[in-house]
Amino acid sequence: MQNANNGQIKWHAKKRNLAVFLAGIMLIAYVSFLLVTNYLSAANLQRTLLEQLKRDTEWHATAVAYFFSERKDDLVNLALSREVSVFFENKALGMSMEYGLRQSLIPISDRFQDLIRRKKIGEDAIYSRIVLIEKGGSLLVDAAASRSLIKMRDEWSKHLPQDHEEAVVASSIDGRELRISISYFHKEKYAGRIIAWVEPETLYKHLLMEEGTANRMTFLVTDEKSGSLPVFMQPPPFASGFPDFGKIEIGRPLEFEANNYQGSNRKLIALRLPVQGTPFSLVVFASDPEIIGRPNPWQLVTRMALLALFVIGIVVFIIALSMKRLILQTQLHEAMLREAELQKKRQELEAEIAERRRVETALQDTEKNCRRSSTSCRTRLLQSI
Amino acid sequence: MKGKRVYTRNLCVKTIVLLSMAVMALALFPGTLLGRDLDAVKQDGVLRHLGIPYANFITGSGDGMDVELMKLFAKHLGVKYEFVKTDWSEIFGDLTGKTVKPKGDDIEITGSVPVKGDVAASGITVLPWRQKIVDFSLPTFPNQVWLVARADSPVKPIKSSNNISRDIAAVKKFIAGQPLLGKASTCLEPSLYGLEKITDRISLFEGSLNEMAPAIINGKSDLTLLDVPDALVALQKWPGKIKIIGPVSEMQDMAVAFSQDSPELRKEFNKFLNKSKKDGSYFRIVKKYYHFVPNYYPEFFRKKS
Repeated sequence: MQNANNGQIKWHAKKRNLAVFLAGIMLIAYVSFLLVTNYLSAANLQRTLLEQLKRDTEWHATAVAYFFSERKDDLVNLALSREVSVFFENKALGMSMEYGLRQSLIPISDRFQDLIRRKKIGEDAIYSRIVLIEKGGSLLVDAAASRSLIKMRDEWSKHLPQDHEEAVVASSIDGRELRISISYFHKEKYAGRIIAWVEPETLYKHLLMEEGTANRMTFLVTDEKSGSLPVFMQPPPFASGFPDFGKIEIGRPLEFEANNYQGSNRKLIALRLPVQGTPFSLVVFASDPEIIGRPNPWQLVTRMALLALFVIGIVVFIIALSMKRLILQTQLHEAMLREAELQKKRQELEAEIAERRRVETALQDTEKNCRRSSTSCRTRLLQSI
Repeated sequence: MKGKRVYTRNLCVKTIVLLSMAVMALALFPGTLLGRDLDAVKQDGVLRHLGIPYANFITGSGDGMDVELMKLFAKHLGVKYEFVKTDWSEIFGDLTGKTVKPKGDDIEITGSVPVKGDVAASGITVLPWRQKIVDFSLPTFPNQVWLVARADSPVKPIKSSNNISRDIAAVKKFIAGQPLLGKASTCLEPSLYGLEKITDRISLFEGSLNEMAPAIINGKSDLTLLDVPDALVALQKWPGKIKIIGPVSEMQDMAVAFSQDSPELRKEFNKFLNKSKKDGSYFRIVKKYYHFVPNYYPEFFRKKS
C-alpha cells in the first residue's frame, strides 16, 4: 500500500517536472522569438529611418533643383525679353550709347529691378543682383537690391562658362555666392550675358532649414572643379571631426563622430545627394537618436540575450523553488502516512498488550486457582494421609 | 511829292485803324491784350495753362508732365487750373498778345491777338528768338535735337567723340544733300541749326510733333529732327524701327514761358519749382512721365536739384 503511494507521488512529480521543463523550453523559445523579432524590428526601424532620411534629402534636393530650374526660366525670360533684344537691335543699327543706345538699357534695368522686387519666397527676396554684360566683358546694366552691392568687385568673366546656350548655375570660387547665367545671342552670335545673384540665405531659410528638425543640418555643396565646398555655410556646430565634404560619397551614408565646442562627442550620419541640373549636391548631417543614438543590431542582440538569460534564470529559480516545495510536500505526505501507520501499529500493539495482559491475568488467575487447588489437594492428601 | 503825301496819308490811316482796333479790343476784352501778372491771376482765381499735346509733356488725355506741374503751381497759388489748347504757331501769341515770325535768332512782330493764357508749358525749348518774346522760368527739363533715321536707312549713326561740336559736325556731313523732315516754329526747325545751308531737300512737317517719328517709319523722309524726349519715347514705342544718328544741337533747356508782362508770376513759379524740387514732387512727376530721362541725363537732374 505504501509502495503504491510512493510510486504515485513520484509519477506526479515527474509529470510536473516535465511540464515545468516544457514550459521552460517554451519560455526560452518565446524569449528567443521576441529577441529575434525585436532585433529585426530595430534593424528594420533603423533602415526605415535611414530610408526616410534619404527620402527627405531627395525631396529637398528636388525642391532645390526645382528652385534653380525656376531661376533658369527667369533668366531665359529675361534673355528673350523685348527690352534686351531692342538694345542689341539698336546696337546692331550702329547707335552709340551717347545718342540713344543708353536709353535702351533703362527698360532693361527696370525689368531687372522688377524681377528682383517681385521674386520672393515669403518676404525674402530671391535675387540680390542682376547684371547684363557685353561680349567684351563691360558692364551694361547693373540692377541690385541695395546700392552697396553695385560697388562690389566682380570677377564674373573669370568663373562662368562662355557662350553657353542654356542657363547655368554656378557658385563663386569661395562658395559664398550663387549665380545663374545665360548667354544672349543676337542673330546667332554671342552678344552678351545676363548674370543673376541668388540670395543663399533665402534658399537656406525656406528650402533647407526645417522647423522641428534640430537634429539635422543640410548644406548645399558645390561640386565644381575647385572642390567640394559648402555654399554659404553657417559656422559649423562642431569644432572638429567634421568630414571633408568631398569624401562623402553620393547616396552612401557615412557615420562619424564630431566634437562640439563644449568638448563632448556626438555621433552623426552624413548623406549626400545630387541636385539635378546644377553643379551642387545636398549634404545632410543627422544626429537623430533613432538612427544614430541606439546600439547597432549586434549590440541589441547581446543586450536582449542578457535580458533573456536573466529572465530564464529567474524562471529556473522559481522552478527550483517549486520543485523543492514539491519534494517537501511529498516528504511531508510520506511522513504523515508513516505516522498514521505507526499509530495504527501502536494501537494494535496496545491492543495486543492489553490482550496479553488480560491473558496473563487470566493465566495468573488460573495459576492461582491451580495452586489453590493443589494446595487444597495436598492438604486433603496430607490430611488424608 | 504827291506820291509821298499819299503814302504818309495811308500810313496815318493804317496807324489810326490799328490803334482803333486795339482800343476797341481793349474795351471789349479788358486785359486781353496784355499778359496777366501774379495779382491778376490770384484776383481772377484761375491759372490758364497754354499747351499743345506733345510727347509726355501733354498727352492729350488730360495729363502729362507739364499738366501736373501747372496743376501743382495753381494749387500753390491757391487758384483753379484751366487748360487752354493751342498750337505751336499760336502759342506765343496766345501768351503775349503779339504774333511773331522768327527770323534766325531774331523775331518780327506781325500783329496782335487776344491773350488766352498766363503760362505756356508744353515741352518748350529755350531758343534765342523765343527769349525775345517771352521770359522763361528756370529750366524744367533737358533737351537736345537729334537727327533720326529710319532703321533701314544707309545713314549710319556716328561714334561719339566726346566732343559735342565735333559730333554735330559729323552729323551735319550726313545731312548734306539728303531729304530732311523738320517742323516750323518749333525747336525742330532746321534753319535754327543752319541745316538749310547744307541740304535743299528740307520739308516742313504739317502734322503734330508726335507724328514725326511715325512719318519717317512710313517713308515720308529718310531723316528727321527729333528732340530728345520725343526721340526716347519713339525708341520705346517703335524699337528697331528708327535709329539715332547723332546730335544737331548743343544741349538745350526746356522751360515754362511767361509773358514779359508777368515778371511776378514767373518769379513765383521759380520759387515754386525750387520748392517742389526740394520736397520731391517735381521728381515724382518727372519719374512718372519720363522715368528714363533722369538716368539718361543724371547731370541735369543732379545739378538742378
